[in-house]
Amino acid sequence: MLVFIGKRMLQLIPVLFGVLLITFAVTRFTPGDPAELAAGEDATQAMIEATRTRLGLDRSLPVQFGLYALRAVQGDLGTSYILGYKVTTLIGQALVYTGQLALVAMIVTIVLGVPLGIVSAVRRDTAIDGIARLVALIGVSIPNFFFGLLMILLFSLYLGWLPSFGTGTWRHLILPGITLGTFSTGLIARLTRSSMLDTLEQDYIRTARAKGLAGWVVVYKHGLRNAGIAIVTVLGLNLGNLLAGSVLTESVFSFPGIGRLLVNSIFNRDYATVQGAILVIAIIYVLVNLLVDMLYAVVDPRIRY
Amino acid sequence: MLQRLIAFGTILLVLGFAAAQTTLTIGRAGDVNDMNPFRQANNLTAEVTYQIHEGLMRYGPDLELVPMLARDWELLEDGVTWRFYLQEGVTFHTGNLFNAEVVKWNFETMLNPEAPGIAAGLLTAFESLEVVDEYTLDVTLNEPNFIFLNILGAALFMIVDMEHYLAVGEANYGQSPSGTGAFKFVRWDPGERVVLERNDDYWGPVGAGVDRVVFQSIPDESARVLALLTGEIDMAFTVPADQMGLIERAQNMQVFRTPTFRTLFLESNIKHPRLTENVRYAIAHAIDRNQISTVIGENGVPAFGHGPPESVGYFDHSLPFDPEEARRLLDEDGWTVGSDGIRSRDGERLTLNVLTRGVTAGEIDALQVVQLQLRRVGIDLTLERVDAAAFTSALNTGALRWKEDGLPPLTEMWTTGSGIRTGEVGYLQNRPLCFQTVRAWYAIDCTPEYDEAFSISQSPAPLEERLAAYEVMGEYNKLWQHRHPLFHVQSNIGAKDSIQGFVVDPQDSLDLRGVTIGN
Repeated sequence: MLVFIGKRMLQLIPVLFGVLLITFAVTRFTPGDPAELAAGEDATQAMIEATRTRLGLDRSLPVQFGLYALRAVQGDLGTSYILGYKVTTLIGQALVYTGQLALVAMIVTIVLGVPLGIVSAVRRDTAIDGIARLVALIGVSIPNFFFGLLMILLFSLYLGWLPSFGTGTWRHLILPGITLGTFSTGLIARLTRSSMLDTLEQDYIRTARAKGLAGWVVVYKHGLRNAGIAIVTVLGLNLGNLLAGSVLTESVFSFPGIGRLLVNSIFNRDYATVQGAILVIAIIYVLVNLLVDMLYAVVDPRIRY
Repeated sequence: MLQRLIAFGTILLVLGFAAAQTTLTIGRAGDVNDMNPFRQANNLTAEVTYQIHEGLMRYGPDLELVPMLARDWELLEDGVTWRFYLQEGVTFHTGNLFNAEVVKWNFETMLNPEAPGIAAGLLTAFESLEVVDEYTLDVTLNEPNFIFLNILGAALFMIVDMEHYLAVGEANYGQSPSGTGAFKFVRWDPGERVVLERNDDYWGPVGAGVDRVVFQSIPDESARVLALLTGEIDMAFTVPADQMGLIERAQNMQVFRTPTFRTLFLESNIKHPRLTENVRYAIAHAIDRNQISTVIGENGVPAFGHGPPESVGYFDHSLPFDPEEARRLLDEDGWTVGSDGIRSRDGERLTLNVLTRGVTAGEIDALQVVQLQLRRVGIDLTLERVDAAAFTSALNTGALRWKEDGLPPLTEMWTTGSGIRTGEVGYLQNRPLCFQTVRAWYAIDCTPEYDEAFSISQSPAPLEERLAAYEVMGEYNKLWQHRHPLFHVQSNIGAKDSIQGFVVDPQDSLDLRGVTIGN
């Protein structure tokens, strides 16, 4: 296992170098000049040039990249052109918020999505299955921003139970967490249902039932464990997505997560923040994938590294 | 026992004090950028930094300049030296003293050629800056200029705490700004909110009416309105037009609808081969502003010139709505109507591409109406939505191509939403054309008569002369037809009934002094 983890960590190096290079290139070749934006509307050419020098964008691209990569290796991702903060500080703060939101959304997904899929599969083609499938379909289809507004309308405006925006307490996490988790809940419910249906038709399930095992033991111990690989894979990918932030949900609930930080930085051509955020998101994806691979061994004892 | 009583009493006192604290929470479309006034001037940032910092003067309700940190000023006999008499005994939030030396440093920092500040392109070059005494400063300009004062009165030139700026460094100042304003900086949570508190040592007669102000970013406009209706915020800025009625009908709410000095223009590059004079005139005749107004509703009111009619130097440079005339002009240019209703000439379709950022409320709706109106006379308008950076880059590249290489510019049409910050239309007009910078987007040739008129309009000449100059510029705008004003943006704000003393400034400079929260 340790060898496996070590190998995967080594793989991180070329992946991250690639990410550094690609984000650097993409930001530089996207139309739009940060110096023009930062110098203001009435800037003269000389002022734009002075701003470019101040931002260090007057040097050749290889030099810029070299300096950037050298500092990035030392954990210095530079300073945001437009916010004035260290990029690592900005990403750190945003990640804390996004992490909290992702956690709630994951809990919602697992607590609602998996049981919904199981019930749907076990009670196949009944009214319960119909309702569960409809709920799952709504979950994957409803746009986040619209569902978020509906939630605010109901729980903040009409019932007055929960705050409609911002951060600070656990109560602030509920509405955005549920909103963010809706899509993945629907997705996981549908996936669980189809995996469970496949599994429940296997011979060993019939054998288990024939042995006289209780219904729930068959479903959970023999059914779910075998359907689990697919579910864990998708849950893992989903966790990566959640941690990369969600601009729409974050905008509706005014949540200062990494999604909004990234999008605002793109609009402002804040190269340092864009590169930093994408780099961190890439690291998260790689680590989550590693985690998923390790979880396979837990779910399925046949898998050994 | 006594100890317990004292402790209990203290708790009650603290609780009582906490309850008496008033906080004004304002929901806005976004957060501030770096709060360094030399670096950032976007509205969302200036709205906040202008509560912390103050200018030498500012605009009063009737667009007159009222004294702020300069208690008086005069133009000396040489016609180029402005003498400023500064307020005495004013301190910055850090306790540092405000005086002429500080103001001198602020001018120098703004105009530093190595790292020019945001107002540097608007301010006339200086001959010299001289500290006469501790509270008197002489600013000698290179040439007579009157608009210089107007720039100083806008939210573009704020006096920064020199000692603090130098102590914390340029890079860190934006995270701990210090000015002389009625509100002091407390905290900034990037992407989320800025918190200010009352400056108890404020020098002015009317200071902060609330203990705290929270500028809360709520990017989604519907969510912003809902937050107002739930009572979580006290005011919602930039409310979408179609939701103003919702707030108005709600209990204990009020709305502020104010036409602003911000105008949306449809602009043309007059050197583009398809945008000949006839085509530009045809576009001008084909636009029906009443129809635009019907569609955009409360987002704005029809516009016919630079800035609204009450702005100084206003001139209606639009052409009357006359689609027949538009068709005649296009016929005359040899554009014939094809089977799909769009005109073409020598196999080239009369298609014009409009670059738009789509950031002004009602902008896209208005453009779609114009698209239909132009289609009726045979012009195919295509809309291309881009972000601000790509927009500026495309126009600058196009302009450079024309200016430096003499090639036809690539860009055809675009939109700008520009606000007057000085009460005068000169703020929005083309700068002198013979000395155009990179922003020669319209590709208008050097026109000495226009430049001279511009120069007079910005000079300390008597108002009549300046108005005559503005008229000359207006006639040129009418002749060129390079900017079609579509509508003046209306500021839509929703607030709780309990908010008192709030006045909307049509020039986008927010003043929260004197705003109170009643019962």
